[in-house]
Amino acid sequence: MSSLATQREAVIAFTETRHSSLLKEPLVTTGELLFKPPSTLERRVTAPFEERYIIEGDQVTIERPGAGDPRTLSLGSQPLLANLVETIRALLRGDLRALDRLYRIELAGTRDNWALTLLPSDPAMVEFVATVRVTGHAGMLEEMEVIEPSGDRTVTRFEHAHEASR
Amino acid sequence: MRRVAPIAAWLACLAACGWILISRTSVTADLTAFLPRAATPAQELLVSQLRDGVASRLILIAVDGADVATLAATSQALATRLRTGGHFTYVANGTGTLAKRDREVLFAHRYLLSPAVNAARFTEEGLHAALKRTLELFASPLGPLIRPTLPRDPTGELAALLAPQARRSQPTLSHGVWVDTRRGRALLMAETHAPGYDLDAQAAAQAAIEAEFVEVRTDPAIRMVMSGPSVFAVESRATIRADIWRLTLVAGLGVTLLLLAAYRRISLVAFGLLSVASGITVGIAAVSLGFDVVHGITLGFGAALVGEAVDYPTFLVAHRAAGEPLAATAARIWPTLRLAMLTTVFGSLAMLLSSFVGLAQLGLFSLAGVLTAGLVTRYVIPALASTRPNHRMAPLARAAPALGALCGRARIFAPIVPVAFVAAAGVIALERATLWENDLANLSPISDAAKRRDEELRSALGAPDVRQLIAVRGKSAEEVLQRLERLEPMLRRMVDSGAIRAYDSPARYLPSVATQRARQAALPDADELARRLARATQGLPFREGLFKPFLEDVARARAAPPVRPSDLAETAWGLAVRSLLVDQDGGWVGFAPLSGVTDPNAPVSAVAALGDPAVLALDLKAESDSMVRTYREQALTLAFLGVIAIAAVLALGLRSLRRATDVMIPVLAAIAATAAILALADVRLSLLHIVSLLLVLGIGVNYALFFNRAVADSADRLRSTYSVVVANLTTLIAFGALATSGTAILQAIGQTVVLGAALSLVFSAAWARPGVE
Repeated sequence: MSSLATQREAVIAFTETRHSSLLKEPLVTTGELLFKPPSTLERRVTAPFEERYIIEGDQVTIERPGAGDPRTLSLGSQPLLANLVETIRALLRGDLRALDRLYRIELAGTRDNWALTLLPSDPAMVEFVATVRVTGHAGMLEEMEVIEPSGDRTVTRFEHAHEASR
Repeated sequence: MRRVAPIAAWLACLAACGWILISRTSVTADLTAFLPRAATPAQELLVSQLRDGVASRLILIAVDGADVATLAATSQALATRLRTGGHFTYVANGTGTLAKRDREVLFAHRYLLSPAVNAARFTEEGLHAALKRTLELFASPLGPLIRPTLPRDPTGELAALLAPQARRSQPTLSHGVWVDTRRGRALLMAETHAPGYDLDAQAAAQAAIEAEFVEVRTDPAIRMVMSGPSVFAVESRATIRADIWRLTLVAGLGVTLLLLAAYRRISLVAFGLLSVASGITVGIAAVSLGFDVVHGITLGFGAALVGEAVDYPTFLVAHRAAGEPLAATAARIWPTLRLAMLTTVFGSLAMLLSSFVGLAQLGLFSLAGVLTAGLVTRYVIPALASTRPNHRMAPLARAAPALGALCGRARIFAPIVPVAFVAAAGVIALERATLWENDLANLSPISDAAKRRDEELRSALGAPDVRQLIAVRGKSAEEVLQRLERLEPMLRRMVDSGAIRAYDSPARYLPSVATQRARQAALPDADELARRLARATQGLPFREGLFKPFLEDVARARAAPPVRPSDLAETAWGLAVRSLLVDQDGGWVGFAPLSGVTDPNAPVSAVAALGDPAVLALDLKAESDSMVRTYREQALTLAFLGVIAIAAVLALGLRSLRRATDVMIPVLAAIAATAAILALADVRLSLLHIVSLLLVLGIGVNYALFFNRAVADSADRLRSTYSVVVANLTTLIAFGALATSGTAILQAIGQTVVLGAALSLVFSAAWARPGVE
């Protein structure tokens, strides 16, 4: 997994599918993930609605066109969001030690075709997330699946087509 | 018989006072009881908040010295114990379970509390927009958070309710508790049952926190600090008490040794103690009879003022001629001693007229105490003293001729008195801008380090000190809440114009019953809501029948009784309501604190434009400054009245305006010079200095009176000089000890009196024109 370690800026397209027992059909959103090492992360949703989460250090700014001024939150007041953000950042940095602080980690597969099973240890996260499964090819993050205690799951597929190069 | 009568009268008086002390006297440590009684409504509010506002009952706690996980465990254990300990109404440490309770309570009442509830929100279009928004939130990383409540709350009413709060700075959560990540410490907040002014109860609550902390910590390296107004009050009371005991011991020992050296008789030394003790006893008894409670500060300052009385027996004993019975000495010096006593009594009378309880108590205390000490010196001490003729003079007395010669030549220094007077007046005029201390905070004995610690904790806990606020009065809580709700547009305009960054209001946490009823009326009935919801969900992927709990909750909210303060008890919202909406003297007051005020005039002019006497714009700092100023100005005016009264008594007693002037001039010059020296040393003068200077006035006039006394012969003149020098030395020793105190209040009194007494001695000696009988 250390081969993930991209110390470069990256733009990664994603497609996220939320499977929930509250919904008649899965909810699909698409967008991009922009990562500036070590800790600036932007999650931009482009369809079916527009929304931007800009994370810099401990600050999250949420922008929604037509919904008034952007909202800024401290990650410290949002433990679940903080943990999810840290998970993505750690995965993009290939920082296994950072993941180890948040989860019990089970690693499977080969270097070319790996799979991580992450079991949350922080009580603030256990309440909302049962398991996180991450798979990838060599240095590429491929898919992340967040499974909630209710059985709802959210599958995010990453496409590295327009990775920025320097 | 002539000896028995005064002693019997004295003992009877002491017995009566003792009975009053035991049966009636109640001493309060409530600082605010010392503050003005009849002031403006704004100051009345300020004082009542200082006395018993929630802020005065809040203790901020920080725990550090271990890793975050350990600190979190300590914080949890401590909070759990404090919640069940009985001292506290509310303990918060960010704990999940507590925050959960907050959420449950708010969730249960969301349709009555949420400002977003109105008729438009429950139309088909309104519902559709809200559901669409909720769906988007469900698809976001925050989705898991709203999932559990989505079927009950599809319009996101809880989020609408919490949104204004989320924007406020709140402590970071880690391991389920509040932490200050920058300083690596866990934070807690506890509100005591006991009012802030009840220092004994506050001390007990703080001791309970200490004890529980020591019990729950797993490692002695873990440390705890507490802060808050009541913590400061308890700490400074303890420091002052310890200082006073220690310094009284030092001063008492020093004065006793000096008097022993002067008189070589223990009985004569004991007389000094007797007159002061009698003065203090009668002083306390008089204040107990005149007022409901005696303030601790009255006792402290009053004892210092009665300190003048320690000089009376000195004047008596030092004037005793060889072979003269003490009773004869007393009769001989009585005209001068009586005048010394009466000048102080009339000087104190002016203070007694004060509308400020504190000053009036001080005046009464000093009046009764000095009168008693004077009478004890005149009648009781000679009756108690041995009738044996005087023995040879003590070694210190042998130095008297040299002293006398020195003072005899002092007259050539007479010009320094007017020069000093004019120079001092010039300095005071030049320094007048920075002469006075107006900041109440600078009068408190709290150290700068403690103030910084408090500011750090406050900002970490997101509980900043409020300086400006709008206060609204009403006959009932409901009336106040309705008025505050009507102020909302004005407050929002101030935010929009940038005059203030934000405001808070109790109506935000607890809307008026009228508003809650209006919200209930805006909710459609069950059938209608079901019909509208069915159409609003068209095109959205929510499962059929998902929102049945929502329909049930809305139906319940329509029929629910209005939310009352008790419904919010033991939640952060309840704390906010309690601190911002208070029951006061039969009426109610609500506070809307303003933060980030860039234009301090905006709230004042906006409130003035309303023309509603029930609404006040308050600047707490300005109010407390003006209160300190008014207090001090009145003290100063009364002190001037006192000076005039003393001058009048002197003119009548000495039957000569010129001689009265001769007594007053050196003392006033000494007081002016003392004030000027303090000003040059960058000491800002406060009420403490004025009270200290009043004492200087009292003892200085005595010095001048004895220096100017009509004497029979040169031996008598020598004895007068000697008595003044001994009296002066006792004052310098006693107040010199206070001047070494680490407590600012005691130090200020000590320095002022030492300086003033020394200058009074020098100036009165230089200006003296002793008459001859």
